[in-house]
Formats: sequence, C-alpha cells, structure tokens
Amino acid sequence: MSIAKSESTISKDGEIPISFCLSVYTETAIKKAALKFADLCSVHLSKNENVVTATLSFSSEKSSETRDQVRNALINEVLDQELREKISSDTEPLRNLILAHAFSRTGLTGTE
Amino acid sequence: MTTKSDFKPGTDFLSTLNKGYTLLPSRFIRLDDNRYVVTNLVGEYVVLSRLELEQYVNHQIEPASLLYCDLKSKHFLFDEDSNVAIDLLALKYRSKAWRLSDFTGLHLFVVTLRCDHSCPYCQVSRQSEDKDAFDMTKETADAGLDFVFRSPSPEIKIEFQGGESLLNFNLIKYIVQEAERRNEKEGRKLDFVIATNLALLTEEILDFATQHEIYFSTSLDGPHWLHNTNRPRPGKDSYEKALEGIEKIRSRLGPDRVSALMTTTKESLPHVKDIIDEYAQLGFDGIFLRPLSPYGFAMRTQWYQAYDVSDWLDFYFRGLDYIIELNKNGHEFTEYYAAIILNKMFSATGTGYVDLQSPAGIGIAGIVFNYDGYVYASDEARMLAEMGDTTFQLGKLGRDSYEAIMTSDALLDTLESTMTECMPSCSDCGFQPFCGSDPLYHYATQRDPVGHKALSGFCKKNMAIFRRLITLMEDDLDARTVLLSWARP
Repeated sequence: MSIAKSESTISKDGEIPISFCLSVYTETAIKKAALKFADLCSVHLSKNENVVTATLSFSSEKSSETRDQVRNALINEVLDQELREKISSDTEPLRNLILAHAFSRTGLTGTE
Repeated sequence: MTTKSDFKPGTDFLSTLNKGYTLLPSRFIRLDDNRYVVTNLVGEYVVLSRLELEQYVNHQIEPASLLYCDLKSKHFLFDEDSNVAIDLLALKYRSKAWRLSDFTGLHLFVVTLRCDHSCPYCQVSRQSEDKDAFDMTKETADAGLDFVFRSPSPEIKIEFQGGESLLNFNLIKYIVQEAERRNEKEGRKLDFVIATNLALLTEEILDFATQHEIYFSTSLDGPHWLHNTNRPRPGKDSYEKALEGIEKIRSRLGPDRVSALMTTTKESLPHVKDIIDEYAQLGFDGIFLRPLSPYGFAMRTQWYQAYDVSDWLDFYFRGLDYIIELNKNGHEFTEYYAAIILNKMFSATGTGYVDLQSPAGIGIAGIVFNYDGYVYASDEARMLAEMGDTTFQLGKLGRDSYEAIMTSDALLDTLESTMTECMPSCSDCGFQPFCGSDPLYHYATQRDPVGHKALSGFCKKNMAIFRRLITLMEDDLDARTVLLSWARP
C-alpha cells in the first residue's frame, strides 16, 4: 500500500516529505513525476528498504497553499506515471501491430 | 428443392443454451445515474442497466432472453453454438483499421503567411500584405510535391492555407498544374481545396478553379455583426466579401464547391441559433460547431481563456438540440462534428477525421508544409511553432529525406505514446472506440502530449457529446432517426 504523508509532516523549513511504497510504485514512475515539478520545487529522493521518500523543497515565496497543491499534484502524477508504464507494457504488442499496419505500405518498415 | 427433413428440428438449437457463455472483450462507462454504455472492440454498443451489466459480467443473462440475443449478435459474448463471433470481430476490427495503411492523404501547403485580415483568434502569426519574405517558393513547392507522391495513399488531397492563400495564387496555380502533371503517371485520386476568406476572389481564380475542379473552404462565423466583429479587415466588410465570394463560387462551380467553417468566440456563445440560422439561410447543408483551439494568436490575445469547455458545451448542446428540431420539422441540416462521431460509431470503416483517430492523425493522416519549407505534424504543430515551440517540427523540405521526416522521434514517439488503446484513462474507457488522440491539444494545454484526462478539455468535451448522442438515441426515437441519417460514410 502506498504511503503518502499528510501535511502534518511538513518540516520547519517548509519541506514536505512524501513516502511511496515500492510494492505499488516503481522508482521510474516516482522519478518521472518528480522531474515534472522541477520548475516548482526541488525533489530529493531517498530510499529505505521498500520505501522511497520524495522530499519537496520550495523557495521561500511559495505559499502553503501552493505547496499543498504541488504535493497533491505530485502524488497524482506518480500514480499517472505508474499507470503509463504498466499500460504501455501491457499494450505493447497491440501498439506495435497497429503502427506496423499504419506504416506497412510506406517502404519505411524494416521488412520491406 | 429443400424439404422439411433437410433442417434439424428447432429443439436441436436449444441444446447449447444453458451451457453458459464466454465474454468477448468489452469496456463500459456510466451513461447516467441508471445506465451504462458497454462497447466492444469495434465500437458496437449496448446500453444496460446496472443490474443487466452485473448479470452480463457474471454470466447470468438468460439465454432465451432478447438481451442475450442482442449481446450475442453484437459480439459481446459467444457460446457453444458457434465461435464465428471471434472471426467476425477480427474482420470488423480490420475494416475499422483499413484506413491506416493508406497513410498520409491530406497535405497542407501554407503558400503564404501574409493576410489582409486581422482576426484576434487567428491561429497563425500573420504578416502584413507587403512582406514577400513570407511566401512559399517554387522550389519548396516542388520538394513538397515530391513528398506528397511518396505517400502510398490512393487518395491525395492538397489544401492551400495561409495567412490568406489567394495572396500567393500564382504558386497555387503552379502546384495544381504540377501535381496534375505528376499524377498522370501516379493515377491517384487528386483533390484540391483552397482555404480562403474569399475577399480576394477574382474571375481569373474562378476560371482556374473551374478548369481544375478545385473546392473552396472559407470562414463564416455567423451573422454579419458577429462575423465582422471576429474578423476585422480594412473596409470592415469581411462578411460581405465572404458572401459575395460564396455566391460567385456557387454560380460558377456549383452549390457544393464551397464549404464554410465557424469559430466560436465569447461573443458567439449566446447566439448559437442565430449562427445556425445564418448557415441555413445561406443554403449550407450543415454546420461544424467548433470550439476555439489553444494555439497561435488565440493564446496571445487571451481569447482562448474567454470561455471554458462547460461554456462551449452549453453552446454546442443548444445548437445540437436546435438542429435536431429543424430536422424534425422537415429541414435537413447536419451538425458535422456529431456526424463524424456517428460515423465512427456506426460505419464499418470509421472516419478519416484527423483529430479523432488513434493513433493520432498527425503526420500519418495529414501533414503540413510551411511557407519556409519546414514540415509539421499538423496545422496545430505549425501554430505552436509560431508561438516559439518547435517540438512537433518534423524536418525541412529539400534538406531532410522523407524517411528522416516520417520516422523522426518527434513523430513516432508521439504516435506511440498517445494511442487511446495505451493511455491511462483512455485504455479502459467505454468510449475509447469512438474517441481519438489529440497530442497537440494536450501539449498546448498541459505541456504533455499524453495529458491527464481528468484535466483534459478534449476529454471532457468528447465524453459529454458521446453521452448526449447515445442518450438521444436511446430516449428520443425521432432524434435517433435524425442522428442515424447523419452517419453517412
């Protein structure tokens, strides 16, 4: 089960740690999600056994409301990235079949 | 001659009943508080209550029931009677996908960026009329035609865009004549469309269009006061010029040789009936009620922010209801976006509408050659480039090969990652067979071609329309008759 800490864990300097369970989310999904918010905060990642903790650091002018929004958006983004990975993997044969069919008469596929 | 003994007794066909059934692939989504839409792989659908849905999924539908027959005939299940459903489903899926291998059919030539109008919502950066630096050259046009005929598509449509395309009519003439010359050997079905505001239409242009069977596409935003507000030009007579041009084309080339497109602005929102009446009174067979796209000047001038999807949906549904009433009262008139969706739902081969396909139609259904030779995945990609973002610029005519452009990462990565069969929220959506991918929209609004569908205006718009169309067809027999008449492939 994923663990996303609530705002009660906000540290004195405004940092927000969010913990993700690796039995639910992959490291790749967490990193991709963290990267998306690089313009709003810094995300430091650490790992302890089966848990990755993403610690969000903000510049001082970001309001607490903004920090909450970013935290919530990042949690959703990790879920989205996780699903993208899984669905992409599950549907790879179908995707390849459809695209191969699309390009089948262009002379651009390797089999021609 | 057959006799009674040539047939098995009817009881023989009951032997497979009560032996259970196997589910075929399907998705479902809530239609309203009481009903669900269930779709199969090829977009055939049934509307079920919650109880019926649960019974279907749990293999509890009574074999002798009408519902069972309906589900079986539409390939939601099969039983021991026959497994031909699997073959039929595969055949139907192949039919729906046939268009893909034809590859790029629509080729847009942006012959100039110059324009005589100053529309605030214009989706391209335009330059004033006297700047020849923004015209496509003959060399670029030749390279573009090389590209066109490299496509395997048996049907080629060349569309001339701008700015105002008639400001570079000499190049249009050259491209048409050169394309026809090359096509003598190629043997494709070749069509030409000039997208123009018609303000610069002359007899010479009409003569040429007559000779080469060219179609025209123009803009008509509604009654004159709305059109002229949206589309300022010197003389403040854009509406009058458009009507004059429409009349000339109809009388010279025929009534079906000119079509019109409207753009919805904030000023349009309270006046959907007036806009529809304008089109009907001018003799058009229908109207495409379009939203404003988030590109080009529309973003810079904040027009895109003027209304949100909910506002536009209200506008659209008032318009759709009004059009259905017109039809019920004997006036045949089509809303074209609904017609495109209905074609996807009911025709064997789906639709070629570029913005509602999966994989997305960018590059592989339509492609754009800009005046400067740069090649874009779509017109929206060109508009993004005008805003400084060249993410979807695929290459350059005369510099990059067809292979390099059509196998570029910008194209292939986007196609692969944005198929509705493979994106979160889309892959298990009950409306997936009806929908399509719009990576440019999601990139423009979320900086991500995949996008979060919960935040997507494209998704919100389409799901609302799907629900409305299906609800109308379920609950209003007369509306159903009207809507099905629009599902013409």
